[in-house]
Amino acid sequence: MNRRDIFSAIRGVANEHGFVVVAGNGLQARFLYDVGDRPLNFYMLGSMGLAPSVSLGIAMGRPDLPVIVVEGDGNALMGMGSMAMVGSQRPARFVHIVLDNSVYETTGGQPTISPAVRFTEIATGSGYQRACEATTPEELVALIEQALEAAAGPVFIRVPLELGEGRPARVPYTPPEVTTNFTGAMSQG
Amino acid sequence: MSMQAVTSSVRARDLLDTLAALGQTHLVGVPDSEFKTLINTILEERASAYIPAVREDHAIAVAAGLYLTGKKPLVFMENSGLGTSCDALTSLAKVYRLPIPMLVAWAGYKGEDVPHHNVMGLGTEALLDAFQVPWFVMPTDVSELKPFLENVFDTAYRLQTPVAILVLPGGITK
Repeated sequence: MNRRDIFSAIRGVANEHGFVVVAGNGLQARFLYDVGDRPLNFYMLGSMGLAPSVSLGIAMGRPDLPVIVVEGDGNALMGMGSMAMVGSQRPARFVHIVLDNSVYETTGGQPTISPAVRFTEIATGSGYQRACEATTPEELVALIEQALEAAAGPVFIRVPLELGEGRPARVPYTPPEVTTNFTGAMSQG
Repeated sequence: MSMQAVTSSVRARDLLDTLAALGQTHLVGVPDSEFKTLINTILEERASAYIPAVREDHAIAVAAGLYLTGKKPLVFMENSGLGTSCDALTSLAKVYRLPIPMLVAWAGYKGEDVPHHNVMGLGTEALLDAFQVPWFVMPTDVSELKPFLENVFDTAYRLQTPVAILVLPGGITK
């Protein structure tokens, strides 16, 4: 799968069901913006490894809103402790997606150690309700919808990712603009 | 840490009651011995407001998420956690303009603690200054507590910045 297909699929299901979508720094945030900005998106521009914890805070503050967090494997490795926090708090409708291409793409494609790690087992071991993989956009959407329907606790989805896709421009918002846009969306319901 | 740097102190009960009166909704962080009674009390009385974090930077990240949804979280940590939190402070809390107050136990105060606390103890003020995080030393007289905290929270919101409340060793007791 490539990011454009992944984020287009996520955007569709997110809009249909009112998901908050948080993207980790790197290409995830750029592609989330590039397929179409929406008020319930939150773009991490730095703070590598912290996207799932920010997402957990959002889910705990607004348990009425389902949350999707998407990060790359470098982010997931850096912030792996967050999975224990997500597992221990067990937000009911929380989907944690890791796009795994085994490289740090924005810094020039240096390898990560993700081939040595089984993210889905770590997720299960951290207390996630379900951990699985998706290899097509349709599969990804189905898994997200199942997680929403079940509302039974956090779900982890690993998505193997191709290399060599184009790179969109940086997210055009400053961090304070990201805050203002998101808190504005929160106060509207 | 077990050193005492103060002759009077605030009771954990008074601190918790004042925080609640001022609208704080959550306490999220990594325990320090300075916060033992504070945490044990909140676990007994308002456990749903307590969020244990695996690392202090993740505590700030969770607090960020809570703040973004309109909550008023307070982060707590030993000052060692400021080191762990540098990126969360500089690339999340500061630049996204998130008014997150942090209760920070001042281990290594004046460099008179166990060795592994002293470098951070002596560097705490400079570290916070370097990142333009306003810091305030918590009073040890309960009569000063509420106006102090009101001023700290007001500063955080007015300047749209995380702030640190430094707790001297022995500053909070049962």
